[in-house]
Amino acid sequence: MAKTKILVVDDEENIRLLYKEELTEAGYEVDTARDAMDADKKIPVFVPDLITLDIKMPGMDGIEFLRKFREKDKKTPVVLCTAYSDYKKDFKIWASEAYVVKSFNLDQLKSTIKEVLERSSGEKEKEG
Amino acid sequence: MIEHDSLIHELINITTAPESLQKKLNEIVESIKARVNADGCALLLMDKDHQSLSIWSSKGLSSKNYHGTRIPRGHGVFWKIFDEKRVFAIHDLRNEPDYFPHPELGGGEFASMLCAPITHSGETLGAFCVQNREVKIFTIEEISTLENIAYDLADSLKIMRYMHTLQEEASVSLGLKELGQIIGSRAGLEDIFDDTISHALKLTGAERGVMWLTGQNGRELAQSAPHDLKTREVMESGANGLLTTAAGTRQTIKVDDVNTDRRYKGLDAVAKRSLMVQPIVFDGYLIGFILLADKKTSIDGFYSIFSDYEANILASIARMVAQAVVRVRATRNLQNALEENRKNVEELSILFQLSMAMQRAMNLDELLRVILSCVTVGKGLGFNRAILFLVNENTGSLQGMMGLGPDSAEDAGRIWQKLEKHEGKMADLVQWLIERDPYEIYHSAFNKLAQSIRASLTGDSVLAKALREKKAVNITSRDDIGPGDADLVSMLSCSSFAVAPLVARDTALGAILVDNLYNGRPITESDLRLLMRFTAPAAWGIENVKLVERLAAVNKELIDLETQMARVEKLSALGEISAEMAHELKNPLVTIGGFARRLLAKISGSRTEARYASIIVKEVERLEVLLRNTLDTARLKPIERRSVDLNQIVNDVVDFYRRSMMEKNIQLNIALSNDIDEVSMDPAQIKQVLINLLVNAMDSMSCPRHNMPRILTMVTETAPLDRSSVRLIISDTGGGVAERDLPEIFNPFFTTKQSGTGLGLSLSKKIVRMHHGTMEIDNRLGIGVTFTITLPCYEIKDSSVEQI
Repeated sequence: MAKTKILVVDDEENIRLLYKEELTEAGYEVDTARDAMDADKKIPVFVPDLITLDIKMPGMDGIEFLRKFREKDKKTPVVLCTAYSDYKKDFKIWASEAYVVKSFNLDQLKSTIKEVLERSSGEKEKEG
Repeated sequence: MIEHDSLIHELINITTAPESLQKKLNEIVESIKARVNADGCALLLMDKDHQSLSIWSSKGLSSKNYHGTRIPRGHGVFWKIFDEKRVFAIHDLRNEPDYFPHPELGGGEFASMLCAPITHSGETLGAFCVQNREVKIFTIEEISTLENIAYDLADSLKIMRYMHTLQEEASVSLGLKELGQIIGSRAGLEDIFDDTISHALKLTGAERGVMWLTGQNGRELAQSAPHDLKTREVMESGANGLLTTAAGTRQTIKVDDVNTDRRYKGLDAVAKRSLMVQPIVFDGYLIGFILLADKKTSIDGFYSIFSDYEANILASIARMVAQAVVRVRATRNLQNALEENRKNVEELSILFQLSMAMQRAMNLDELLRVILSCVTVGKGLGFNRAILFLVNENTGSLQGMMGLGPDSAEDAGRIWQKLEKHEGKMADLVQWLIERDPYEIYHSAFNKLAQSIRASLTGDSVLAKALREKKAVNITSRDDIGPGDADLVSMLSCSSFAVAPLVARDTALGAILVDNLYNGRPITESDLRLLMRFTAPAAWGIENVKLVERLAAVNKELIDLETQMARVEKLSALGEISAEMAHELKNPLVTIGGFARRLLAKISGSRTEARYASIIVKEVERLEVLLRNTLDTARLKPIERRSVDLNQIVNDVVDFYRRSMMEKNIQLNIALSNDIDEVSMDPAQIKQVLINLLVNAMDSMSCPRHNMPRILTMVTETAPLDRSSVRLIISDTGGGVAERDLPEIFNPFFTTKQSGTGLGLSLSKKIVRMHHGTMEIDNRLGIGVTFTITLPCYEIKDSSVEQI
C-alpha cells in the first residue's frame, strides 16, 4: 500500500528538514516546498494527501495561499502551523482543517495530522 | 388766792428753768397733782396735725409714765374737752357714757376725773387732767384752780411747744438730709435697704421696718431688706391687700390698730398695734414699698399710733429712696451693658484668633486638633474635655473622630499646670494652637475612647437630636438623659455635658461634645452661646478642608491616571516588540529543540551526549513557555465577565494546590467571608492571578534554608472603605522581598527565581487592573509578603482601560 503523502510548506529550511525527518519516521512520504510558488509547482506533481502550511512566509503568506488553493482544491486537508495562538480567532483560517501552534515537540502536530487524515478518509469512503 | 398765786409763781419758775422740755412738764404735772391733792394728773397736748392728742406727762396714774401715747381724734371724753373748750368735772365715771377707759391714763383705775382745756387765742393746745380713785364731787375752788392754771400756763406751754416743734422738725430735716446723702452715694441696693430702714425707724419712732423693691419687670416683689419682717409672712398676711391698695392709690396708708382695723385683716402678723405703708414711686412707676410697724412709746412693748407728720416723713424718705434706687439700677444696668459689651468684644477676639488658627490648618486631622484645642484651652473656650464627631455618610452614623482631654484627675492637674506655664508665654495663641504637639492627643486613652463612640443619626440620642434640630443641647442632670444616651454617659462617666452641632451650608457635618468632668464647673448658658458661636467657623473650616482634600484626591487620581497611561504606553510598545521578537525566535527555537529531541532519540540514554541533548530540550522548553507568556502579556484577551463567587475560585485553586502545600509542610489559614457579594469578572483570568500569587507564596516558603513557620493565609472580605468591593488577601511567611527588588517586582521579565519567567506578577497586576481593581503589596522584610487585591463587585462602564 502506498504511503500517505504530506507536503510541508515552510520558508525555513531547517524546519522543513526537521518536519521531513520526523514525519518520514512516522511513516509518511514527505516532500517540501519553500514558499507558495514552490508549493504551486509541487502539488500537481506530488499530489499530497495533506499539506502542512506555515502562515508567516515571505511573499504570499500561508493564509493567502490557502484561500487561492481552496479555489482549485476543496478536498485536500491543510494543517496550518503558526508560531502563536493568536490566529485562532481569525475567520480566514477556517478554510483549513486544523491549526497547530508550532513547537519543537512535534507530537501535537503528528497527532493532529493523524486525526485530520482519519476524518478525511472517512469522508472519502462515504463519497465512494 | 395766795395759794394760787404761789402755785402759778412756782409753775412759771419751772417753765423758765434751763431744763429739758420733758423735765419741765414732768415737774409741772407733779406740782399740780400735789396742789389739788389728786391721785393722778396728766398733761395732754394736741399733736401738730390736730388729729391726735399725745400724753406728754403723767403722774400717779399708774406705775408707769405713759409719755408719748397718742389718743386719736374722736376717741372718748377727751375730745369733748377740745371740741367744747370747757372744763369737764365727772364725779363718777361709771355714769359717763362717753368715757373711754384709756389704759394709758390708768383706765378703770379711777372713779372721778377733772379736765381743763389749755387754750390760747381760741386754739386748744391741750388739757390738764386730774383723777381720783374715789367717786368725788369736785369743789368750785378745785375746778377754778385747774382752769386758772391752764389759763396761766397757756402762753408758756405754747412757746415751749413751739420751740419743741422747731427742734423736732430741725432734727427730722437733718436726718432726712443725712439719709439723702448716704443713700445717694451707695452703690448697692442692700446698703440702701439698711440705711433707709434705720433712718426711717429713727425719724418716725417705729419699732420695725421693711422695704421691698419690685422686680425689674415691675410685677412681683423681688427683693427684701433683711429685717425681722419676712416678705413671705407679710405676703401671706392681710398686708397683701394693704399693699395692693397702696399700690393702687400711691398714697401712704396708716393703720392705727391692726387688731381692730376693719379694712385689712390679718395684719397682726406684721405689727402689734400700728403700721404705715408707703409706696415708692418714680416717674409714675411703682418700684417698691416701705412698711413701718408699731410706733414706740416710752414704755417697752407698749405701742402707739403714727401721726400724719410721721407719715409725711416716710413719704419724703420714699421719694429719696426712689431716686437712689433708680440711680443704682441705672448704674448697674449700664455696668451690665458695659460688661456684656466687654465680654462680647473679648469673645469676638477669641473667636477671631481661633478662626485664624483654624484657617491655617493644612488637613482635616490638623484642623480637628486645632478645633479641639480651641475648645479646651483656658484662653479659648476652657472646657475640660471635648470630642469631635463627624457624620459618616456611608454608614449613616455619627462617628467619634478625635477626643481631647486629660485621662484622669491627676493627668488633668499635670496638663493644666503645664498649659498654665505655657499660656503665660503664649503671646500668640494662634501659633501655639497650630504647633501644639499632637503626640499627647493621639496617644491619650480619651482619644481612643472618643474614636470608639458611634451614634445613629436617626436614634433618640442627644447627639442625633442636636444634629437633626441643628441646636445645642445642654444636659445638666441625670434627669435630662434618655435611654438612648445611657451608653454615652457611662462611656464619658459624666452625666452633665453639652453638645453643639457643626453646621455649614445648612447641613450638619458633625457635632462637638464638651464636659467639665474634672473641675465640675456647670456649663452655663453663656458657655453654650460661646460654643455655638465657635462651632459656626469650625464647621466652615471642616467643610473647606474636606473640599480641599477632595480636590487633592481628584488631582492625585489625575496624576495617577497619567502615570498609568505612560506605563500602559510603555507596556504596549514593549508588547509589540516582544511579539515581533517572539515570532522571530520561535522558528530557530523549534529547530534547536526539534533536532535536540531527535538527537536524544538516536543516542543511548547513558551517554554524556544524551545528557547534553536533554539539557538543550529542557532549556528550549523553558524558552517556549517564556515566549508564550510574553505574547499573552502583550495581547491579553479581553475579559469575559460574569458574576462569580470569589470564594469558589479561591477554593478551586486551593484544592488544586492542597496536596502540594502538605508536601512542602505549609500550613494553610483560610478565612472566607460568607457575606461578600459576587464579583463581575473573568473567572479564568482571576484564577490565573490567584495561581500566580499562590505559587509565588509557596515558592518563597519552600526554600530549604527557610526555617520560619510556613504559613499561608488567604482571606476574603468586603472592602472596609467601599462596601461595593471585595478584597482578597494572600500572605506568606517567606521572608519578604529584598528592598532593592521591591520597585521591580511588577515589571515584566523580572524574577528572583531560578526558573521563573518574570511575568507572573506583571500579568496578574494587568488582569486586576483590567477588572478595575487594585493590587497592593505590603512587604515585611524578614517576615513575608501580603498581597491585597480589591475588586469592584460591579462592572465599571469605562472601556478605556479594557482596550489596552
